Amino acid sequence: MKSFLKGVHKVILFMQGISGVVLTFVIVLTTADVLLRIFGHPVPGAVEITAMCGGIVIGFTVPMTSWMKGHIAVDFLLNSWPTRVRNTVETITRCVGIVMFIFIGVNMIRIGRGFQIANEVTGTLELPMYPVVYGIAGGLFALSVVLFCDIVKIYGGEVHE
Amino acid sequence: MNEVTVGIIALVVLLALFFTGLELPFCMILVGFCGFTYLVDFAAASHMVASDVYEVFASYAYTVFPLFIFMGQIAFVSGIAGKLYDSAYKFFGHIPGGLAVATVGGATAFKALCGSAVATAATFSNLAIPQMNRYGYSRTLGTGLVAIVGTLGCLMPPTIFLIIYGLITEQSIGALFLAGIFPGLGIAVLWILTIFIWAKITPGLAPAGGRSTWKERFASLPEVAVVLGVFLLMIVGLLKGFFTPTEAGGIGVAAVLVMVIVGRQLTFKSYVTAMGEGLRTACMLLMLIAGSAVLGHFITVTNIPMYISEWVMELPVHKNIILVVIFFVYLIGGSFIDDLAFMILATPVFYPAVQKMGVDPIWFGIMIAITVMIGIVIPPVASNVFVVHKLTNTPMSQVYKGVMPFLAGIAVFGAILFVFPEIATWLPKYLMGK
Amino acid sequence: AQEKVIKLKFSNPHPMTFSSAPVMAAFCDEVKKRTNGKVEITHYSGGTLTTFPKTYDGIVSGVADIGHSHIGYTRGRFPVTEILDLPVGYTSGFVATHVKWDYYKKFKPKEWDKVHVLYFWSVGPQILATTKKELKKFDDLKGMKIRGTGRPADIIKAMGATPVALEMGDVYDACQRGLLDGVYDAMEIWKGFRLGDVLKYGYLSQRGAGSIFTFYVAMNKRKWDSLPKDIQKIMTDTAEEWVDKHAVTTLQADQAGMDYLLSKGGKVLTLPDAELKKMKAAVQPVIDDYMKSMEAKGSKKADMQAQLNYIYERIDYWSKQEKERKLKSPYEKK
Ligand code: NA
Ligand code: NA
Repeated sequence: MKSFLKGVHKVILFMQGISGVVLTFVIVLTTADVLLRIFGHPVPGAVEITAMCGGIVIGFTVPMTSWMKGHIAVDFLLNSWPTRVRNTVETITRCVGIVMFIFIGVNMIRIGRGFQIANEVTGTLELPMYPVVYGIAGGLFALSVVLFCDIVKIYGGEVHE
Repeated sequence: MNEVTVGIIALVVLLALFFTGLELPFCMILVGFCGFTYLVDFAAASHMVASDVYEVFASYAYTVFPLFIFMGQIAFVSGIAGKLYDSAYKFFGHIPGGLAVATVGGATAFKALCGSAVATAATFSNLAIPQMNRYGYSRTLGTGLVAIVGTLGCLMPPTIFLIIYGLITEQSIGALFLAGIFPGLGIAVLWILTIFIWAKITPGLAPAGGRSTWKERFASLPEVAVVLGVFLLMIVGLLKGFFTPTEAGGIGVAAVLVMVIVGRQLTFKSYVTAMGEGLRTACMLLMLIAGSAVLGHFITVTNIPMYISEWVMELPVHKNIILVVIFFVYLIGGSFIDDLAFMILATPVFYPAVQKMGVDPIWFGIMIAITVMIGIVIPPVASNVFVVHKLTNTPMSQVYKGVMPFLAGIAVFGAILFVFPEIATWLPKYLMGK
Repeated sequence: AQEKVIKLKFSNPHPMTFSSAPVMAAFCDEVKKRTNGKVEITHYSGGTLTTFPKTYDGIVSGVADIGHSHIGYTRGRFPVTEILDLPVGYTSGFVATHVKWDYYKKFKPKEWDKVHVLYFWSVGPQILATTKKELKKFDDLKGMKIRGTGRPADIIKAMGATPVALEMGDVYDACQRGLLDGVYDAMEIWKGFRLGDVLKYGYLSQRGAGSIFTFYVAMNKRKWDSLPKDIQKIMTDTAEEWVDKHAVTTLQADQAGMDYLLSKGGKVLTLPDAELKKMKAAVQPVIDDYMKSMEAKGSKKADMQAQLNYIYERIDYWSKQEKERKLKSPYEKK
């Protein structure tokens, strides 16, 4: 189990790394766009590219955020309950999350499929939109795996950080 | 069951769900999805959840968040806060209460780059508390002050809080930033007054520190000048329409990066750390916004916002009473759940009514920012107080005791702004004609 | 037995301040009236239910039962219908609205099969407006920074100017600060977004390029099929009447936009015919490129040409109708 957790951690860390590289690219792109615009040569489609990059930046950070318990939750009540009750409630909420994000991911793939079949493209550069949709769906599937890891951590008998 | 009943039941269920420890955005998505399924149908709801998450994540306007937050993180890891605090300390350290005044000054300046209330509280717990200990300051005053200075982050530009408010209500983010400046400075001044008065009536509370020479003082200024320069670049660029908020974020990060790389204050390792922190905070925010988009679409089909705004117009009471009630709801909501989360949740519901009453949306935004500043530090969920309590090993009750006098400052200013909205609205009107 | 009221959700991303929104709200009321309250349509304006880019998928999936958007928001989704977005020289919003709807009724492209189209309409044609520099001749446009995204960006480029992609909300400031030299959009926005404050010269350039997006109001197919025949007929008839209501409203909205510019000290000019001809020639490649790309996708050249000819023929027809009906138009030659 420990190696499974380690493996998952590696994958989502890598995903967050991609987000970091993409965000760095966005910083360079917007700065270049603004500076070049002063001289009358804006970067064509900068807005579209930024939006699509933003999708990957956030989508690929979702699993790591959840791993580090970064999503806002009200836990002061939960923490005041006995460990057994807390573990049960936590297991249930993790299961709800897993089902929910697999479901959203599948529906997102369907939206992406729709874009792909209809050849829907961005307004100016006419870039295909589906790869970003698939990317975000991938982030949500990874989130489900992270939520599963939460359960593993509860019953794995070891404190894992 | 009619739509409104469904909506009210769903909101009660939502509140109950919050306390199970399920992440807030997940709760919002779940309730929004189930409610939409009930009122519309399963296929529509399935599409809606996925397309809302996709649209929020891959939105141009929301890319502003990772950029601004990353900028704050860079400022945080590169030690800019320390330099700003030192500078303020050199000017005010020698007067009684001066260290506390320096904390207010340093935090207000740091705020120009870092948008997070908790990060500001954490930074100044580490910076200011040891100094205050050295000169025999009261723990109550010191910890109370660092717990509250970060809340200025809601009001002083560039603030994430007002950016989100602007995006939700389609108000000019530049105008909101301008509107936040005077109230932000006003509250800072009230805090300084609080420190002086408190020090006066309680001898030994805040003794004088060491005096610096004028040479030392001026030597500390260039750093401050650079920070203010980046701040001005962003604000002016936004106001003059040179760039969009997202571009301002990009330019701001680039400028701060150049500054800290030239000053050799940034290693690759700290760049990666800052990036990771920034990405996760932005992700947390956008997940919240995605959750509220799903919930919001459900609330739209319950027609509750429409009924509220019609009902408010027919209420036989003065609109000021209605406004006070609305602010009170924000206060209670913000004290229970995260301040931003509650703003994102409640604003789409109340905003149509506020619009119908003819209230200035810019002023309303500033008022709820002030309300939420109070919500951040009052129980039961007071993340700032908690951080200070942890970092300084001070009992929660003592931190709260220290927070109270400063809280009075915010409340007093809120009342003043309620009576004189011009304090907020004058600057954007004067500079932008809006 | 008491008959159950059919409740429908109409998603209109335009805010109520935009001229088309009250017309659509009135459509909802009219259907209720004509069906004796059997059909109740709730009009959600300002994007509270779906935003423009999400409206089409929203209709298909049933998030909205009826939705309003334009095909530029889903570029590639309606490749055949995009022929209506080309710079074919729509002379007014009245003409464009009727031509677009006639086109749909005649050709009914297969790409619309997933929804039930209630009607097409269009705002007034995109025309040039500049901030400081007055265009004396078409060539003066070279190198000017003009706001435009999507297909209009192609057209602006073909005219020799530099297209700049900006959100509508940022255009005002950008004009004021010289980041933009002008805009290429319907006249209505001169008032709606108060651009009349910062624009100085408007040109009735619609006879040169005259392009505009194709807006549609469409309904979820399953929902439509589930409606009783008599209700369907009432909705179809009402929609047909509403096309003309939109057509007339665009003239008023564009007039209001022009009046606003004039009241702020702006001027509305017409380029000399020779210059408009140059403009027309400059944008012709946009049409040619489109025709070529459609051929590459397997459309027959003759079919496409026939559609284009039909569009030109209908533009003539409706231009004459506009005159015959003595509608007050802001597009009369200045
Ligand atoms: Na609180
Ligand atoms: Na709070």
